[in-house]
Amino acid sequence: MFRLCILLSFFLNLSVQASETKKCLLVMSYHKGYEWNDGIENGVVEKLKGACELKKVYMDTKRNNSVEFGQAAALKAKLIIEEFKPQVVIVTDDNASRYLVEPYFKNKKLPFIFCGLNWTAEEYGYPYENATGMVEVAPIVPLLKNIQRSVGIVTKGVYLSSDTLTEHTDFLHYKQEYSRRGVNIIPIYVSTMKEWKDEFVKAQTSDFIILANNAGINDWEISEVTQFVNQKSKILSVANYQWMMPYAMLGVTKNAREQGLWAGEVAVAVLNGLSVKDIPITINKSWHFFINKSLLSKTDISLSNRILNHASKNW
Amino acid sequence: MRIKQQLLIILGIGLSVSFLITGMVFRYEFDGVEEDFGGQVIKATEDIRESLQDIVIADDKLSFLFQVTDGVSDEDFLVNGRALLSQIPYLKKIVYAPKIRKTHLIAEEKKLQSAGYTGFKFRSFLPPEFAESGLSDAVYPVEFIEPFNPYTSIWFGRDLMTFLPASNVLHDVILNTKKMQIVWPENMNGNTGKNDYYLFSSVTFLDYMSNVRSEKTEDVIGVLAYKIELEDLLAAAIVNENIATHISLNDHQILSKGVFNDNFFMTLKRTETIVFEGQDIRLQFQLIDPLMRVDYRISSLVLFVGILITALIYFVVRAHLERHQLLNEQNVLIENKVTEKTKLLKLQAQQINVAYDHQLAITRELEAFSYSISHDLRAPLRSISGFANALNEDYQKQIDTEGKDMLQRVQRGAEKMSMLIDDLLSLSKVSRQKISDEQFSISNLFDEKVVEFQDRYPDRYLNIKVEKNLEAQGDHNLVRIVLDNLLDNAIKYSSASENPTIEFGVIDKEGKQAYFVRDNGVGFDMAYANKLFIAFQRLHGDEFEGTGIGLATVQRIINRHGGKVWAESELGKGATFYFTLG
Repeated sequence: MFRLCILLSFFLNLSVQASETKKCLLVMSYHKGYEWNDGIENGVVEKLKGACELKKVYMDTKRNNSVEFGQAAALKAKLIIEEFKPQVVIVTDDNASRYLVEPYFKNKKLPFIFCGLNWTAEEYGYPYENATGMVEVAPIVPLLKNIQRSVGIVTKGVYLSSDTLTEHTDFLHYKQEYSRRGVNIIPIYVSTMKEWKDEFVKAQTSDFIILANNAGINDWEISEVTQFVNQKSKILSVANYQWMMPYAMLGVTKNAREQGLWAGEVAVAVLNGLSVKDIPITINKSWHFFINKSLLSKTDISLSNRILNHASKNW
Repeated sequence: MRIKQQLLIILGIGLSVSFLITGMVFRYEFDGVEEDFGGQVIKATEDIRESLQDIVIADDKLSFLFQVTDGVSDEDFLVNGRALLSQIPYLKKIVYAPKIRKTHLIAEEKKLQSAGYTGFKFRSFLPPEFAESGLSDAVYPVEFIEPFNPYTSIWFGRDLMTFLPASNVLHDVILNTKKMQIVWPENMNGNTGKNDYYLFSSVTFLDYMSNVRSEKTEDVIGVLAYKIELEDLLAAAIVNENIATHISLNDHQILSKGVFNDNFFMTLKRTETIVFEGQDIRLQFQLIDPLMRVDYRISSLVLFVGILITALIYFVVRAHLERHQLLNEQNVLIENKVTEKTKLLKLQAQQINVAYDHQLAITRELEAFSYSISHDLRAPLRSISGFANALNEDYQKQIDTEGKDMLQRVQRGAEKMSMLIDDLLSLSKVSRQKISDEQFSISNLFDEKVVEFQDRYPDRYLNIKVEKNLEAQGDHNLVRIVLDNLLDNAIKYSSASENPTIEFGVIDKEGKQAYFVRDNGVGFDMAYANKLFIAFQRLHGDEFEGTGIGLATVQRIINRHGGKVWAESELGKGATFYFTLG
């Protein structure tokens, strides 16, 4: 009898412990193996380690970008949420908010933490009563500050980019911030590699050149462009995407892990009783700094020691 | 004074001196504790002062950042803020709130929204009904926070002027731009419930030089707030857990570490004041249980040695006093015994004297009697001898042979009687006669006696050897009697020897001259030597003539000279008589 009581107490204790186990769900818009997605995931996992039981859902909407797929993936994620019953849900990048949070969980009880939303969360109706998160902004101001630290006072620059909607949107943010700081920035949108190369040469008369995203230039040849910029670069060229670093001297790029760390940190705070309503939506504040020493060595441009020391990676 | 009292005094003095010196040493040790405590207090005060000064320096750096940089970025603040947080361990949070005029609020909100702070609106720390900012024309929304985390982010966008616990201080900060102000937990009550301490300072334009009050507010461009953990600062400054500390800010106690105990009679307290940006920070320190902090090693050693020395002195003095007392007691005992013995001896001496006198009287009486008898007997004896002789001569024919024989016996008895009386008179005479002291040649005296004997016994052969030139000191006539008796004995008892030899000489006996007369006669058994000098005691029979008084006379003469007479002999091998004179 006595042993039975002990066993009952043991199992009762186990059941209480099981009921107290906290659960977190990570719903990712993209797929595993996508660098940006992996960066965020790593950050979340690091912060939630030991804090809760973590379940992951990949919506895979990068490789399957149709609305129907996105909606179906969101529905699947919703079912998982209802079945798993997490205390908090982290959603990464735009499609999770677009297809899952806004349609099904806006201002509901279950707290959501988003991250990796481009430029603004307002597009998905944020802020909600039950959601907060980190918006992903391009390093517009840090890039300009580093340009100024490298070549001193600048008044005009060129924004060389592929001719895509995203780049047009990004440029508006650049123009707004740069104009406020007295810098005139001119957008050049191109569709071919030749156009890009021609415009690159023309831009050499400016104070600096921002090499924005080349996604959308279909005939892009990495080695050719690399050889070209090595021959033609005279002014400071900067990039805000890591893959543009072979052609730029200086790069300031977003840090996917920061997004994941913040989301994970907020999730822990929510699990500890903090309301998402009290946590403001914030923006990313940490950047990766790159230096292309090879390209720099072919020009007369010398970066300050502060930038050289501050660079997290050398290209 | 009794030994016990003396020892108690020694014990008292020894222990008193021990305790006195121990007390002095303890005072020295306690002074060390006090000095150590003072050193720690000074160090702690300096540490706290320097720590607070670190905040001032940090504030200068951050103020400078906002003064010189047009549009401080999140990155700028992050880099600088993190550097300061890592440099100052007790600095836990840095907040910057720029001053935004109410007329620019909407534009500022839009600017932040466009930067990505979605849905952002400036808010108040207080509920809406209390949301009015302290300064009517401007708000101070928090835009920079480091470290930025979910917990600190809740401050983002909130008007610092509506942070009620700090609002009054913030007014002071803004109106007195050169000063930092501290807010302590009492003011923060209801906020976090933790001991949060904040320092607030204003950031003004770099070229701000105005002293006009109204312009000061105008020139403020923002407010910096620093959350510090005074407990950490205090813990780092006061490592010693035995030091209780109270910190008061402008007479308000804001932090306590440990409990002050004023009841103890030996307390160590110190108060130090730090003037920090016009605010008085009073630090009160008390060493808890200072007596427990004293290193008692030296004082214990001194006390131990003191007690040891006292005990040593005690035991040494006690042993000395006891010995002294024992000696005294023994002396008294001995004196008593001596007194008793002396009394006894005196009594005995008196008794002896009485007995001696009595004996002397008897002896004298006896001698007188003896002399008188001898003297008186002489006349009748002469009559007996004379008439016996006359009878023998006048009536020779009438008396038969047997009668003649009887008559001869009467004559011999009378002669013997006469000799006996002579000897007795001689003995008596030597006792009564006055003794003279003169030096004379005893060799010559002995020679004279030899001649006399040779004359007396011309037909006897005697080999007599006399050592020449021997001197003696004493009564010449009495010594003559001594020699006469000794020589007479030697001749008599050696008469049977084939070659009778008599020697007279002297030997050294214990530093004195012992004269001797030696013969090779019959000698005597030494077992009877003690009877030699007793009157009428004879060791031989009638084969040798004699009265038995001669040696008694010799001894009496020698005794009167203060000397000693003795004899050595072996039966059949002669005898030697020795005597000394004084």
